[in-house]
Amino acid sequence: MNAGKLSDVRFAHWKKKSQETRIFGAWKKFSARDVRRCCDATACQTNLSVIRKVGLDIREGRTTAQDVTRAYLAKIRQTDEKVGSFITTQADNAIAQAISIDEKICRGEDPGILTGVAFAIKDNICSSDSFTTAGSRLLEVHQSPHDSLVVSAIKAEGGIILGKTNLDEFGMGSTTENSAFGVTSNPWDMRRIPGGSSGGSASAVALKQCAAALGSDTGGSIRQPASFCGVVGLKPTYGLLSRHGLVAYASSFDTIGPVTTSVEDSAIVLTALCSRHNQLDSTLHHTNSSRFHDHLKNLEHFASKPLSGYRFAIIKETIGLGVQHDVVQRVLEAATKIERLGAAVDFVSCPTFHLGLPAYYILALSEASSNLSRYDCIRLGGKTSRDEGFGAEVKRRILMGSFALSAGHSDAYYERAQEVQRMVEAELACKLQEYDAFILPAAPSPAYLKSEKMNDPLAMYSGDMMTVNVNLSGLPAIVVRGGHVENDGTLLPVGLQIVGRPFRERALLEIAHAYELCTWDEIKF
Amino acid sequence: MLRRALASRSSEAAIISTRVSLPRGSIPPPPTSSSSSSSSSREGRRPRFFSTTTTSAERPVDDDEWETVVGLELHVQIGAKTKLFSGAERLYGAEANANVAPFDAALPGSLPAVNARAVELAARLGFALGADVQSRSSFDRKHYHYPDLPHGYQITQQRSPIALGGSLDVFVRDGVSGTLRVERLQLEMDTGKSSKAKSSTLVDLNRAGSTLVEIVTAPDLRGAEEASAAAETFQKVVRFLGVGDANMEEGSMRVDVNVSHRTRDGAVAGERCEVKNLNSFRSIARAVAHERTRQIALLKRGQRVRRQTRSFDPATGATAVLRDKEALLDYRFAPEPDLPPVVIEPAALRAIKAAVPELPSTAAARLTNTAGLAPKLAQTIASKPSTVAYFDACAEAADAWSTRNGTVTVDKQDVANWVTGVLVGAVKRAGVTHKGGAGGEPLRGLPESAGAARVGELLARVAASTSMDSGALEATCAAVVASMPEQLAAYRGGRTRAMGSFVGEVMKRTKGRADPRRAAEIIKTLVDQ
Repeated sequence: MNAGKLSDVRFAHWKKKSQETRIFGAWKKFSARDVRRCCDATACQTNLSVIRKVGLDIREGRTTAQDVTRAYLAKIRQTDEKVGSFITTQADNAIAQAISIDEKICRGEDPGILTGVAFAIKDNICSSDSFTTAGSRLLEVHQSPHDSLVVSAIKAEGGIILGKTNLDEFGMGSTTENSAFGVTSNPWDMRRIPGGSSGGSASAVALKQCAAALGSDTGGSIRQPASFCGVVGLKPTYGLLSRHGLVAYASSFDTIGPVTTSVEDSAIVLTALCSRHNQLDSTLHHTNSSRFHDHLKNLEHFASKPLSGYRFAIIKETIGLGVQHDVVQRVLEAATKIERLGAAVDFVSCPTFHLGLPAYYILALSEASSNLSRYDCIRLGGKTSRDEGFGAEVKRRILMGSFALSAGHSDAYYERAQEVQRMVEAELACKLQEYDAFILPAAPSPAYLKSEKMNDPLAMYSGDMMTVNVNLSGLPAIVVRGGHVENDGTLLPVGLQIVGRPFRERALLEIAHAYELCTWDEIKF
Repeated sequence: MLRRALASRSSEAAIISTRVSLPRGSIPPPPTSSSSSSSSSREGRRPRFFSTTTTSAERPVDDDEWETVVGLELHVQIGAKTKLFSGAERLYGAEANANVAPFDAALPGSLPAVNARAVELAARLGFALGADVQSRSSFDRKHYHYPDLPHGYQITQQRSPIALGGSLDVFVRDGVSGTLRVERLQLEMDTGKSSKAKSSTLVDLNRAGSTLVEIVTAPDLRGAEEASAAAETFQKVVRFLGVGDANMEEGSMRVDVNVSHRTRDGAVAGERCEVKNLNSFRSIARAVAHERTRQIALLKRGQRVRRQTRSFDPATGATAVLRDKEALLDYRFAPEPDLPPVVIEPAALRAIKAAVPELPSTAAARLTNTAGLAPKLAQTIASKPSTVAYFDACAEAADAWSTRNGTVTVDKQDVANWVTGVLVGAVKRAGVTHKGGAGGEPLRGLPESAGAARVGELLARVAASTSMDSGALEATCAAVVASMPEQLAAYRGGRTRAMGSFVGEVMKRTKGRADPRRAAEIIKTLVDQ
């Protein structure tokens, strides 16, 4: 299939192609090159980075931050009514930010490595200039007095914040259907869910409503939607980025990470987010900040076997029962491609793998029940009771978590789950001494239909089986495009998850970058 | 910047009102509501003789076969400049909700960071109590819902507290003292204050997040007097160490007592009751006395004392049920995921330990036992570290002088009398700072002539002179007169100034031990013969 056909599939629900050209028409006036090229990675195959491109164009005067921002805002206006990626957009603020960046450029200053990059922020990450609802009715009018550390890092590096994206309430869900502010659709098929809980961020990036987005990952909330929407999602090692300003779901697993169109963009955003450290998150692991994207080469500089010397492992338990056949096929194909790039791929067995899911849910929900006890309707929000403010899924999880922590049950549930966590962590750590990375599916299936699993929470929870073990062990993982599967005549993306060693994001990004560039013409997004 | 942002918001939310009505009895008590603290200050102003008149409920029962067993739980606010986790200032009496950081109000996205100074002060208190201060301790969440507890949980140290064990010498009356064992010291986060307005509850979060050290003692106390004396001793220790104000009226020290009763022969033993949030020493004594009457009456009737948490009303002097322990609260303890364990490096532990001053009770015991001071005098000197230091330096200098000159050693009682009788008053009048001065002087700003070393030497000289018996002095004087015939002739010839030479020689031969005036008198009688 060719790229044209794919984009038809992708934008099938807008039908009118003319409308699409109009959206980008505004750009053409100011940009020397077709702006679509700038956004659509297929145009420049040796370097897929949108961020690098936008930054370069702005710095070299081919376009301005203001024009780029306006184009994205126009795209949001055109498309978001149908898709529902955003809860709040802040056009005026964004344009003001863009103007100040253009002024800096005029003065000859460098606004930073995210110059003019339009960001969407998951709405459980606090920003002082808009509401932070966490997808909950209870926080409908909550405005944080401070920016989260990641948001201030983006602003400091010249990024522009367009708005806040939809999510499952407090990050609790895998479909973005549990939001008080509507359901987000998958841009590939409007009948389907975009995944969750960072569904809004993933669909916004997939639709190019923004250049990059921030999500949060507690049990797979960045990686699963990235897989469902065909974008790149990175969950850094727990403790690499400050959680300051992230509305807590399960503090031991919550991680902030970028959702982007390419691995290189992920690396650039991660570099920007790492640029600031503070003492406000005591669980932060202080590492020497590095520039992750500096190590990524363009395709023309690649060796013939860019991954030679690397050892990969496929966990047998992740390609067996409970995983859709097509998805397994894509992972095995990806493994073959990785072998072609010079790496060794082995099959390994992790007997504790299936224990992770129940342990994760017990630990995460216990912490959630504790973290959410602050919403007592005294200080925050306009609601008079928790009953009125919380959605059904949140209530379910608070009750389950309270039960798991309660006297007489905490040994059977909470403490055993902690033991399982240690076992899972130890097993993965042991395997990672031998292997550089695991490759596994990001989810057992591609995006499913809306309300398919709404009334079957256990089915929804089991969809997290590919991702939760990574959170239990705190490891870094990235999801890149692994191919697609055809479902009812619709093409749906399938992600490939690569799990690396703790605090070795640099190696993980290099692997993912090489895989992405070298398989680009075969996958053709 | 964060605080400023919140401060601008706090004006609109200066006092947060709650519309939720709270179920009674099923919730923990509000720590020191403003109404009860005002009544306690009234109580504090009451003339002293009032305490001897008791209501019938408080009158001690004359049942000597029953023994009252009391253990204390003290909550002491640590006097660090900022709160335990948030960096907001900790000030008493500020405008409502003025000292509130986002974390104190449990705003979404806020995270705790441990205040190292608060940990240090808690460790200091631990060392002073002889506790085993842990190099590694960790935090847990204790869950319950209350309007003045914004997070819905209190961060405390349930599983591994900062210090274990320890003890404190408690003086009940003059001479009567005992050792109270300490079981544990744990760091925890204080709550806000809630007070009832007409139709709503007002919440002030200024106190929320302040550092508390909870001290749990063993049930070593017997009776009301010991309980209040123990609390008073803890207050003294906390203030002495500079760890906190421990002001009961301001709520910077709050006490819970656990009271149970048993017959001396051990035949009957009742369950214990906890009386919470006592905010004066007198309340402690009265609450224990009331529990004694109540519990013994129950036990005597053959009834069971139910394990309860009770409150004390200073107006009536009676305790009342807050909640039954039978309906135990489930606090759903869980490890605090936002905070890694607190680790105090061995070097830091040693430094904290080295900086702990000698406790008044320890100093008093030392002064009584090794220096042989009367207990009262020892306690007076021991009450201030600077006085102890002055006394020690003074006594040392006196000893050094007497050893050097082979004279009698100075009676430490004399040194102590001089320090308490002359120095303390003089220092107070002169407004000398009670801090170390230059050259190792224990007090700063004293004139050189009043320095500890100089005073010690003088006291030693005085002691030497008074100790020299008159026979020896007369013999020396006679020898001097006999050995100086020229001067004797001159004196007898009318040159009375020669007397100076005699006295000088006496002083020389006695190495200055002689009292020159007495020597002169003796010589006068000798030469006039």
